Amino acid sequence: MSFEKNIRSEFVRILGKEWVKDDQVTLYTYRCDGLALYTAPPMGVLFPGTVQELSSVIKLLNQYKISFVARGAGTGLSGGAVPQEGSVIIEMARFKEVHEVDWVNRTITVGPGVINLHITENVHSHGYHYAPDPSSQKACTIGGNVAENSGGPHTLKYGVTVNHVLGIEMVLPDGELVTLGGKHLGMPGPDLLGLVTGSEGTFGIISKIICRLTPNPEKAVTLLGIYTSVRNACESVSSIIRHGIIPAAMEMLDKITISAVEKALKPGFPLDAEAVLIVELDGLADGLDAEAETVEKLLKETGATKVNRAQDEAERAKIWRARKEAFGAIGQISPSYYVQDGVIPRSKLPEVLDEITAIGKKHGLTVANVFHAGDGNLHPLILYDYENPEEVEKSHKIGEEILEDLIKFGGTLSGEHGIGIEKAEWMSDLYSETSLANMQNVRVFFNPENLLNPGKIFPHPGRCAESKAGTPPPNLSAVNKTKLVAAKSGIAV
Amino acid sequence: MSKIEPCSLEELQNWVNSRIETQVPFRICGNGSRFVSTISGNQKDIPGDILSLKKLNGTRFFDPDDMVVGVEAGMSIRTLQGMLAEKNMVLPVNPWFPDSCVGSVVACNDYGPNRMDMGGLRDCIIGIEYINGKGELVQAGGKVVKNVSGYDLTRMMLGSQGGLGVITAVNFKVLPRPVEPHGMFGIFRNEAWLSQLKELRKLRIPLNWIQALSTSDSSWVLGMGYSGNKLNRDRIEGEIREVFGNTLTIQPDSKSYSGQIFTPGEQRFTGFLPSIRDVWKMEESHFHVFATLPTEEIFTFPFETFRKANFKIAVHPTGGDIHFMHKSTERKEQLQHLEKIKSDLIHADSKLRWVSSTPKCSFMDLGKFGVASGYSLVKRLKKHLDPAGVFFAPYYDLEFDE
Repeated sequence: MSFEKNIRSEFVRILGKEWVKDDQVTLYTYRCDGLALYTAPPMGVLFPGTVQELSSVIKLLNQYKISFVARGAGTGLSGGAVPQEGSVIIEMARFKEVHEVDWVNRTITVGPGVINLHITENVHSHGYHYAPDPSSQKACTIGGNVAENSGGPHTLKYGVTVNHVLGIEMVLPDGELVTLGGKHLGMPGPDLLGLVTGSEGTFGIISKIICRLTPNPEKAVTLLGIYTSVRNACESVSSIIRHGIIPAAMEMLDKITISAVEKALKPGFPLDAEAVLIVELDGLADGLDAEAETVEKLLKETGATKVNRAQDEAERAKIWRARKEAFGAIGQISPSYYVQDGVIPRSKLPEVLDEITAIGKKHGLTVANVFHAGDGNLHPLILYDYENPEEVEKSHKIGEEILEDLIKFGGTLSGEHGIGIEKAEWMSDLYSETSLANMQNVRVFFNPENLLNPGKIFPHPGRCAESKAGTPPPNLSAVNKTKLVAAKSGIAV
Repeated sequence: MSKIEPCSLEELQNWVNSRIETQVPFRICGNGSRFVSTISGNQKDIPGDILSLKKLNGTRFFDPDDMVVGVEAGMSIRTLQGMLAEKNMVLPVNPWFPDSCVGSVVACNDYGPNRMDMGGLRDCIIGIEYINGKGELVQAGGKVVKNVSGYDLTRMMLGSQGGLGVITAVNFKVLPRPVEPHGMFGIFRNEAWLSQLKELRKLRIPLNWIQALSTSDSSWVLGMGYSGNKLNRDRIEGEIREVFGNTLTIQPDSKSYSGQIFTPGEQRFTGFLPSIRDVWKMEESHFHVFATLPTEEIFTFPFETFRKANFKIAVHPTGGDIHFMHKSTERKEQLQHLEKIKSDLIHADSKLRWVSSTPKCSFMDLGKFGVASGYSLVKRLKKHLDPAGVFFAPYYDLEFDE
């Protein structure tokens, strides 16, 4: 697949020859995002460099009724940037300008192609940072973060992307340029900025973003609670919150994950522990130690056999490296793994974790857990051998049963990875037909011909009944779930 | 004019459906705390029917361990906060009228002084239920604090002014009550506090709120709220004193500010808001708009002219908004005040809102200053989601070139 000659020449007229690509290497490179084994080659890839160019190519695509998908760094884990139906990819990497830093209003205005971590690097020496910190922050772009409403370990205290984006400039699927929000916190009228954030690139393509800057904490204290029971670790989480303390992060690793990170990274976690809980407090230096003492007491009261405190920045970094690279470390104990992303009410953590373990045992596979305990955002890791078709099938079943369980306990399908292709067929399990139809009605408003990022978020028409029964629709063009499971192998999030 | 007060969701849905079928518009009110029976003279075709959600005021769920709560739209914020307080929790939203119902506060996207560091409604809302333009009951979001499953219709309804549907229930994530809330207060004879606040802001200390109020003797009361353990508070107080000197008074929670015109009330966490209206003796018919604007513009706003022209002014300097109040009740005079304020809002991003619809002036008088960026998109969305045009909301009726 490649551009038709006449269309190609029109793109070249707008963008210049070097920014219109449909050679085989490019098409192969852009066939998928972080959901690596589900692939669909694009018709071609366009690299606009200005908002005028972006608007012009979108108008042209609209004129020829060619579907298109925006793409940032391609780190998404739900297939949101996979060019289904041979869509054209609009690569936003050239929008990497930092337009303005406004210290009084505490904002930074950037292009969507700016890498998440680069925002913080731009302002850190002035005492600020950009708070949402997905584990892929060294690579993922802010445009993709807005599209997916990304989170990260520190969202417990600081919130997710929607809480840190004050304004955007966006090109609608017909080429119209709109601005939403601004530099201040309150706007009259419906919160369209909030609606667009997390819409997975189906409403428009963002060309500029005003981000909120957060003052750097003066000091951070990192505690490591060690437990002989996962249930006790979960109780510690609730106990801290009940005492009116909101840590910057509360992250949990279970026994299986501990064994993996010890093999790979040697952070010094005890191998006989059933779970470790990382609690990070931050803020003004004064009074923080006293708060840490309170938390330490609470951890012990709720069953921590030992609480270690990082004595210096090196020790703190070691603990965080173990957390942030835990998924990759799983490779030490299993040839493949399938990571899920779902959220449950925090108080249900012990029950749900028990059930997840039981589901794994029922199917004869191990499920490891490393997750954002403070906000109930689970990432079960189903361990299997990709070379073993039976295990691949089992891991698929386990994933489905886990999702069913999350919904049963009042949870949701995704806390930070999005729905994309991966979970579209499960949406009818989570929402009523009416609620889904309303979401689709909003999509029709923004994207009436469904040219922008088609095939994402919603179940294929007529598939709901099959999905509810837990059976993948036959010949489904969107998802080959076996491939999907394999695709998740070895991806660090 | 007739007022309809459904007692059940089913009754409400049936009634809304009948209106959609006959394409008869209606107005929505909750407890009526800021709802006046007439909306200024320049509005045509004001619907006679008023839908009140006052009787739909139940609690859907309250899970203190998960710090989430779901209530029906007719419950007052005062009732909700009372329920949360019993579990030592709080929704960091203090609307001007504490008896406003939850649905109204969400539809107007109200917030309060805690918006600065603790977030407003858009940071707390996690789920919603509403009746849409087809008469269907829609549920969006959920009971969990982190959720990216599908479109965020919850936030779409936030600030929708009753124009996109009838909000019937809302889910919130709530916060633990702050540890030992305190406030520092001082009296200022001029606007010198503005430049001092600008300096304080550079220190990046965590404050719960900052609020400045003009007083009847043409001076200002400035208050700053903070919380935490003693070491933490000592540090914050020290930093504030570095900038303001030793003139500010420290007041812990539940201590009244005796001997002053302004009392911040018993709870430091809420700033002055609970008592301002009473102290200023402001009535619903009086002029009361507020402007939201970037922090930098608040620091440079010409407050002195307004203070000397007998305006009552409340300022949340960082975050940020300015409330302008005046005892004038005549439309002509109120419009003059409005024009004066508009002329001093320098930046195009600055926006104006009425705190309540007054009998003399309306949303329409705010013009471009009353709508957010992307207004034409919002107008089109309204037509798309309310094809029968039954959800009356003047917000969507302005005509101008963006």
